[in-house]
Amino acid sequence: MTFLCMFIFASQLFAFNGEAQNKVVKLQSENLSIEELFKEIEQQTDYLIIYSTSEIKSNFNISLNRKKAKVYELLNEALQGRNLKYELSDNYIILSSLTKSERDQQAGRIISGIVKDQKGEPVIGANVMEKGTTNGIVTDSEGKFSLKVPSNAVLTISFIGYQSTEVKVNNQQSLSVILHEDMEMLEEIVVVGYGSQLKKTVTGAISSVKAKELEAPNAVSADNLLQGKVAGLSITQNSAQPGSGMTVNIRGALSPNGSNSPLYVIDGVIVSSESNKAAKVGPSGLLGTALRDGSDRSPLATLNPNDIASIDVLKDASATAIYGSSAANGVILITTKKGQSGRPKVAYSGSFSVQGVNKYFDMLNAQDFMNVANLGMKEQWLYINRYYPYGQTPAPASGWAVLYDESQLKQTDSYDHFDEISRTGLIHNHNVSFNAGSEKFKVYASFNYYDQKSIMKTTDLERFSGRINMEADFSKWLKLNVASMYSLLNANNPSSGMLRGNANEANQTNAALYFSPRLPLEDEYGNLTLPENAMTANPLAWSYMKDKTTTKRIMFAPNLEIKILPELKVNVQLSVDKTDENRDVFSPTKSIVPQQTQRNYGGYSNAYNNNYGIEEYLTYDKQFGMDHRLNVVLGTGYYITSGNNYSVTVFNFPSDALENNYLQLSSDVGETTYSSGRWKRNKLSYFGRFNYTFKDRYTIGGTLRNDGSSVFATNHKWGWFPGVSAAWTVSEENFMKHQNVLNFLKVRAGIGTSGNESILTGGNYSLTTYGMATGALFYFDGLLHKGIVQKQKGNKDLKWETDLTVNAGFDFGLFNDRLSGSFDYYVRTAKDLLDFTFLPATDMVAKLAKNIGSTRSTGYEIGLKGVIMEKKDIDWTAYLNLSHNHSYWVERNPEVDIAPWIKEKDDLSPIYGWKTNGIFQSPEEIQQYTSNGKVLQPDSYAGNKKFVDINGDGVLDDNDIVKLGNNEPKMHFGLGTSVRIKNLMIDLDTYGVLGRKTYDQWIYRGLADSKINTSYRYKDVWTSFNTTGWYPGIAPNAAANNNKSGVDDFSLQNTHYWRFKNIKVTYLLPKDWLKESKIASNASVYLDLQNTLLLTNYEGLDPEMEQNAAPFPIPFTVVLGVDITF
Amino acid sequence: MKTKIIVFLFALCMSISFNSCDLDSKVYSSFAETNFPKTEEDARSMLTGLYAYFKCNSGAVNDDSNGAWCWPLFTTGYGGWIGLSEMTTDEIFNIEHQEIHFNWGSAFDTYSTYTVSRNITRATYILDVFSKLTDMDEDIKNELMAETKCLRAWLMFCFYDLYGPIPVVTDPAKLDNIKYEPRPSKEEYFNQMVKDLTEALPYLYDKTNNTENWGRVNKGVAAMLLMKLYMNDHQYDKALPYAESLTQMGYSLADDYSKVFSEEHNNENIWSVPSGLQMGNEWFFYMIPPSCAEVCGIKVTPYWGVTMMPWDFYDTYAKDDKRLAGIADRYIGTDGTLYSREGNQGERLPYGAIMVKYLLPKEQTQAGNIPLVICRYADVILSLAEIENELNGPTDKALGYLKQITERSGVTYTIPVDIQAGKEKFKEFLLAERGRELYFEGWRRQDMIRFGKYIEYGLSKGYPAKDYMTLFPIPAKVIIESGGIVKNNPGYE
Repeated sequence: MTFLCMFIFASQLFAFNGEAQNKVVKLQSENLSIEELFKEIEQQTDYLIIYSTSEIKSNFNISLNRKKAKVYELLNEALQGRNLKYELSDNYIILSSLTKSERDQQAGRIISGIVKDQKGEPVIGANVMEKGTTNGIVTDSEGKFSLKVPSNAVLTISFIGYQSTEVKVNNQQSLSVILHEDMEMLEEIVVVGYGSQLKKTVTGAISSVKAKELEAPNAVSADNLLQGKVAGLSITQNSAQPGSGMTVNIRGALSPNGSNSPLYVIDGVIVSSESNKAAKVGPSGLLGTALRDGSDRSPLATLNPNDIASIDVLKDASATAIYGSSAANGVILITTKKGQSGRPKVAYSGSFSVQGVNKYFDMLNAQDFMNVANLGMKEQWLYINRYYPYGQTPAPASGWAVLYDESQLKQTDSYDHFDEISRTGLIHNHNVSFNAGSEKFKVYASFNYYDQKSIMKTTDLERFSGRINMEADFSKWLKLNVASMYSLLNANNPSSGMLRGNANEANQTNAALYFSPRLPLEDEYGNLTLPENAMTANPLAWSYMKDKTTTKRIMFAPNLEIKILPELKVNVQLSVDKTDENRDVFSPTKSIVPQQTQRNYGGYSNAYNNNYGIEEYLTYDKQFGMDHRLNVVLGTGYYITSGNNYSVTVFNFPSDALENNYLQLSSDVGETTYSSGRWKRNKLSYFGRFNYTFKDRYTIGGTLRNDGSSVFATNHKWGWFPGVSAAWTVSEENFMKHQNVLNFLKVRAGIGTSGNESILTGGNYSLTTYGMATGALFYFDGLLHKGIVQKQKGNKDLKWETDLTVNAGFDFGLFNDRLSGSFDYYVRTAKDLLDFTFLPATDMVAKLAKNIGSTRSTGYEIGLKGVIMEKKDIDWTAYLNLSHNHSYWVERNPEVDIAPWIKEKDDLSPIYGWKTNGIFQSPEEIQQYTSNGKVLQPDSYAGNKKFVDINGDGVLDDNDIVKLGNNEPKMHFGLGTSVRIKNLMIDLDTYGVLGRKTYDQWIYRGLADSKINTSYRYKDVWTSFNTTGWYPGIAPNAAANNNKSGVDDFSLQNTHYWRFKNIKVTYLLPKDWLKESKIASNASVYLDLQNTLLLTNYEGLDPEMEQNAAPFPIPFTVVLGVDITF
Repeated sequence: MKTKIIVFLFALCMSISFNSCDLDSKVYSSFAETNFPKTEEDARSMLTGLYAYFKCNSGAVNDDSNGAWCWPLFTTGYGGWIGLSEMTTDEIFNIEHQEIHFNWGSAFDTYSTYTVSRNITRATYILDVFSKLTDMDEDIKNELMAETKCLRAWLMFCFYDLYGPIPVVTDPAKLDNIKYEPRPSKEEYFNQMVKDLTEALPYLYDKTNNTENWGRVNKGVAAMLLMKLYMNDHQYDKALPYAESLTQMGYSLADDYSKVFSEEHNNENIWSVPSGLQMGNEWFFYMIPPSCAEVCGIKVTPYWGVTMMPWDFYDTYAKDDKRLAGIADRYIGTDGTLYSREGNQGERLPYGAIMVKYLLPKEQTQAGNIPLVICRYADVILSLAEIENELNGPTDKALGYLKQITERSGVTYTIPVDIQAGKEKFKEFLLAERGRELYFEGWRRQDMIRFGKYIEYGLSKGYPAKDYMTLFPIPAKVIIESGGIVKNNPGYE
């Protein structure tokens, strides 16, 4: 906090200069000679007045309107009409006579003009102001204006959504002013952290996305909008639950155990990546896995996407080094909209969306379910008793049990439970924004109401969010920028989805798939039907459960800017970011879910996250002569991140009536569970950056950050993160001027480091700690005793993980920027990798946080933008992003050995396993399946997978484990186009992945022999009654138990997909019509079709959600919306 | 102006050098090394933490310290010591994990069982902490250290049973720098267990039934473990004194078999895993079929029920065996239907009978509040019969012990008339009776191995059993991470 005081003190020093000319001078009389006035000014202020008596007739009397006024006011009045002018310079007032042209200029005259946009359309209601005065007018319905001004006047023309422009009147009689859209101004500027840079001088790998490219009228959070928009940024949706998190990573995932998600900085506020979520409330342990955590919440879900002005993605370390220790995974800088001067504007945008389920798993209907169950019972009986085909003895004609008898098989009713828990989803999204301001004070305010009734009946999300961004110029040297936001999110979020292969996990989507299709979910009295198998829950149980999550977030980020010199300013950035999350749970007696006896329970959990920061930085930006430009930033920051949480669950209330509002009603104290926790850490940073540009074509830049963090061991708290980069704008060179194909070419290269501390969030791994581990308890004589165990071994040598990135690339523009783009190649190396090393199985704890080895990723990115056509009535643009990344080990932990089949410098996420060659279709085939003269799988059964004896030695063992692929996709791509024909616009956005190894999300739970429903694809399963099935049968495969990799390639596929995210058709209401109706200045209506098409060779449900076996599906959405600016 | 800039820069430099920020590491919701463990209470709570791995629910001590979720020793799920010791035998058929029926190879992954062996090192650490506490009552200290040693030996016993000797840390001097070491010799490992138990025995509590120490290991447990160690090692002469000492500790057979399991402090029980609302027993979860509402006359909540007693084992009970009261060949479904072995079998009875065993009063059917009986006097009696037979042949004394068990079950007539014809004849019946009496108490696998019948059984069922399968493979993760220092068991290399 010492910094703040220092700055306030420092700023007072500079305040002095600005005050001088404003100093009030008191006179004895209104009538006096000019020399008497000068004398008074010299006596009462620090000014000395200098003039040449030969040039100026000095002795004249003046008559003023007042006795007391500021210096410049008195001078203005006294010299009016005398052909004299004055200049203030430091402590001098220099008087001189006007030249002829100056004399002409002083005479007022009427200037008229017209304001148009780039397309030649008149701009109605634009502000035309004489600079530095209150003299001004608004353009009429034809964009015209006329104004009386002195001929030396400068006009400022501004209009919301357009870049303000200044025009010198000079001798012109009429003016034609063209206003450029704001976007263009933004496009020229790239936010780089602690300031911005002109795009043409940027030396690092930075991609910018502007508000216009982020339009998706119904997205909860901004990460959704970025999918496919930035080369090198991969965003994967694992669940389409409203507001749920996405896997976001920039240039691959290098940290095997740490977080690989980027750092988010919103309006200068470094958003903590801590995930202190409100915990689940409910029973724990195997007897109570009923209520899982909801899906991860996106850190951006609280932010209204409509407020975003631009998103800048810093990809290489020469750019991210300025964020030092937390920027190893790249930085996403989000800038929200700012107020603009001019007539107050109100804009409304609203949309209404209808959502439906495209496709979900096909499960058996009741009749097939019963038949398959009976067949499944027989199959198990054959196997257990080793009858043919599982043994040599032919099966007797009877002896097996059936699950459903003849009378049951006659049932004709069948129920599709997914239908019963899903519905047509609806989203309302209303956004009102207000924009107003003068040159000195600008404000942007918005209010957003978002309400989603999702495609799952129990899942809703509602958001209220408000934002006020202000910019106040108190004086020429003092400016305050405040970004503030409050957001309230109410969600009904029962868990959905599960990890592939974890079929017993109870959640609603899972339950709907597995619940017997023979039974309705409710009887005629509204009682929930008991499941046929206790392990499957009745999916309606979640409908009666209350599981509300309320998230409140406040962000407040004032930035004070003090201009010391025209080229030197100081910024003080304070940031407050507080999130409170509250979970409110009640499960009534009726909501019986599996593994839980019939009882009710309820409770609360809360999580508080606090982020405070103060940063001060000094910016020096000066152009020296024509050729040299220098930009230097120096700063310091201090950050505190803290959090705490608590939860309580109470069981067995005598009545459901009061829900969880009256916990003391339960007398079941012994089962009550509660928990709480607290953590805090802080960080001190010093950072600096310089950028030097010579002749607008050679730029070099350097960055350095020094971070100290409380989470590291005493001698390793501080880390240095430097970065250097350079760029050469080749197209500025003379030899490039002779051609007109390549209008812009810049070659860039950079090297830099940044840090990662991600596994250290929450914990403090330099210390050995002891605590209550989950379940560390025991009863002695019926009394509960709590145990304490060593939870963590401290590592006194723990230090920062450092990422070193070397990046080279070029930006280009062809045919006058009709085709523009960039290419980047990078090598990113993580050193001193923060990871957990596994301790010997004889140690007390299993793992130790340690700096282990090194990983590397290499890749390239291509971003292309093209203007295919640009005419008055037709605009046609397109973009394409491609990125490829490959991550691999450079150096491993020497203390821990790796499996013999894994190579020392292998991929980071390799898939190793045995190769398969179909399945044994008959018992005879097992004996015939030989290698090197030996029967390879003598203990296998028909229906088992056939493994390939790679080395041909006749034994299936470690030597047959081969690399089957790599989890990383070969390529991510994004492709889109935008066409405007007169007033009709069509936008298309798509993205996809090429060459990704995925497993089939096969919903298969045996042969329904446990009264758990299974997929229609049971027909593919090999059984004694389906000996042509290609999918492995029910018999365990003894051979597989020698496969130490535990993996085979049977259901591994090389997958590609291409998703059509948006097809948006917009109709811009004609200006003429709007002009006549005088309702609005701009209006458009649109129809947006989302997720209409998924082209893929994948055989499961959705390749993007491959990890999730009963996911919340990505819905098909139709959006109708309107945007109006009043 | 220049002066102002200089002043400003000076102020900036000052602020940089003048930082009062405290970057000390702090933890708020755990104890840190700086303040723990210091007191007797700290050491006691660490001992409780060790006991937690002897639980019977699979909500194991579950956090980073294990590196992964782990099975506690006495869970009725398939991966704990009991699970691996029962589901691979003739007593139990596990529907969900059929690979456990000898379908395992070198890649059979029991890491989540094996990782519990870390607690052997924890015990060593706790002993070290206790030994360094100075202001503690000597008697209390001796008793607590004896408990810790007994638990350490018991852990070692369980892993020895599954894997043979594995590397362990019993020397406190090694605690600061633990590395993978080669597996100790059988003698070394065996002697360490014997040493711990014999050192602990004099200081442990006597019988703890109906005392505040119920749940803690006691003299009975230590003596029983020593008895079993020597028996499994075929050193019956050394087992005998411990078996006999147990008859002097005040335990007696309950008059009614079912009471052993429904009355926690019954005089037959030497030690059982306690349970409570925060630490349930999952017996019913694994035993009761998913559509079952009433079985053995008690109302139950339907559960997973994937663990059945195969019919061929069930059929070794005589029809009027009183122990069958807790083993069901029929149940009433949630839909009111009667499912039975001979009629509609439902989805579970085709695989075998339902082991209810814990016939609790109706109001207590909720899973959780039932102790899991592990050490009981009936086992001691049967062991005495076995030791006597091994040392002296099928004497009347041996038969007398055996009859104590069969008489309580009302089936003494099932003892073959020629049982005293030879040691083998006696052993054959004894093994079968041990199964019927102690089913699903965790001892079956070692019994079958001790009697030499384990692999024979596996082959008779058509499972791909191999001779070396009397031990499980050491998990591949351990072999790999040790860089080959830890060698696998023969047959699995």
